[in-house]
Amino acid sequence: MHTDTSNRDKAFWNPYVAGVALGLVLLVTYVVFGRGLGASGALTRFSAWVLHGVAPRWVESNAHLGGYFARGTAWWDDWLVFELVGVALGGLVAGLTSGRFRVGIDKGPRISNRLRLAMAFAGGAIVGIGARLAQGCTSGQALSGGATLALGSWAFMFAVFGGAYGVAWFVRRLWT
Amino acid sequence: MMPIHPEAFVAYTLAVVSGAAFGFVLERAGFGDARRLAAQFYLTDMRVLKVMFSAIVTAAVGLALLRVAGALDMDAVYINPTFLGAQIVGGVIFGVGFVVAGHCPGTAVVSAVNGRINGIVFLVGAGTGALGYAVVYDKIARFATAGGGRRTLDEWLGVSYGTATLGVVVLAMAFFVGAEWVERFMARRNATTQATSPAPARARRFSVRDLRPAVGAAAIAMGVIALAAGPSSSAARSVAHVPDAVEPFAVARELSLGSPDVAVIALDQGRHPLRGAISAAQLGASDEEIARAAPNTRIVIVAADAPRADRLARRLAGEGRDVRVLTGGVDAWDRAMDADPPPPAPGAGAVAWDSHRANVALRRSFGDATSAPAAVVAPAVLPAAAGAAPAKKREGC
Repeated sequence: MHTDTSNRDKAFWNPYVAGVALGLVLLVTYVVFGRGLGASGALTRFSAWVLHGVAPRWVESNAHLGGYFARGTAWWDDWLVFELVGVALGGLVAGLTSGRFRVGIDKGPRISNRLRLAMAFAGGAIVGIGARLAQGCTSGQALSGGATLALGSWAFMFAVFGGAYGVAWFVRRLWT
Repeated sequence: MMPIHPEAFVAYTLAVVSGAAFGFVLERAGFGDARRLAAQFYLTDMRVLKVMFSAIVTAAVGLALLRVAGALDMDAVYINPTFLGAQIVGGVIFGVGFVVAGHCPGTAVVSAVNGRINGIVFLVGAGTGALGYAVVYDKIARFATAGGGRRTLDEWLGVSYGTATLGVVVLAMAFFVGAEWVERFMARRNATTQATSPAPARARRFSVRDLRPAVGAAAIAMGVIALAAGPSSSAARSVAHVPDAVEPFAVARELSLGSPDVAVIALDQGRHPLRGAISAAQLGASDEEIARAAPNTRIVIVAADAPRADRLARRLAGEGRDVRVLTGGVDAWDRAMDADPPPPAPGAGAVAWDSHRANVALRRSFGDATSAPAAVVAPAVLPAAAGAAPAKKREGC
């Protein structure tokens, strides 16, 4: 799919530099807002809103989603929703300025587009369930919670690596 | 003292800015590319681990520094509550999806906006998964919310905050050295097994220079931590201030007794189904005002917004009040009052049955409260600015 891998490599930041930059962004959100970064929470709110358009009663009475639509609140009225809009904007600017914006599919060399997209959906659904159960994802739990030394966030982070390394060999055809 | 906690409009504008910086760095780190993320689990590119731990170390050391300098009140900073069982099981599930899809939610947004169809499909999948979780939530709520509380590594290890931060730095350094070694090993192995293909750029010998940024960060961190390790008393103080949690039925019991020395304060504007609770809006718009006006009795705080409840509880506790926070907030209350609690196990003693019968009675007297008028006290109207930031459910991520 890509031939000029070395050129693409050059535009990436050194991972340690990128990590320090990410850590500084996180530090600023803690200092200004008293909270960290996140992603899956806003995604849940957005999905709940979509489903609310189809089945409003069910969503409103659901113990996990109902709170987003309670009287006096709005599904979008959350810091994380605005932050995730920012992630999309910042990611787009970075992609456009690095020349990496490209309509296409990132996949391993040995699988079809169709299988890749099926796996993206299936993996997404699994991630969605895991993130809800753990009350956060790699951003909101592992990164943000990790920086504040939250015990559960560290447990989550090692569990993520454990789960991923545990099945990596079985799904190697997807990537290698 | 920080955090600043700006007004809602400012906070939301700055949220977009913070998110943009986050998204920009994710893309520059290479996380918009699913193959880069997946490579972490095939040991060919340890970027995920390097970026993640550099970020954690940077932020953790920064927080420790600001705390020692007295510039940041860690008690007012949201710390993800710990639900060990749910977080370990959720983490394993998450990890499986991570390697199957090659995305996690934040990085998938970056992938999707940069035109990758797999990123878009992943986000649809993740949304579907989250809704699927909501479908079965009732059945697993007990497991998902078991043992929730503010627990941190320093407390768990029984060491000072500075020492725990130092431990994180040392662990990260060990991971960095290991990651560099593994990448070198895999590059050499792939170069020999695929001698016909052009040697990848990564196959060059590992040099000490690759570790320079990490070593620099480590040196700064060590100096800082030496400073931070000293005043562990502030850590001890913050632990002492952790407000106690209280179960829904205990709150119901207090409310039904009508004890004049117990005040239940509901923080949620527009959603406080507890009959007999005082609406926080009645007391004031800001935490300061609420703390000043709160009755000088035993206080139970109820809120869906865990960080806000935690913040207010700490403030009140800091003033010497007897404060407890309803475990799980309004959601837990709703769940508890939604159906009769399960009867005690066969062979349970008379005490267990007595308490069960009492709980069923309480449940029946409060169970209709969700649809009943919110509070006995008419909720005061909030000013528009504060009204934009009502207490809400907190997602953590």
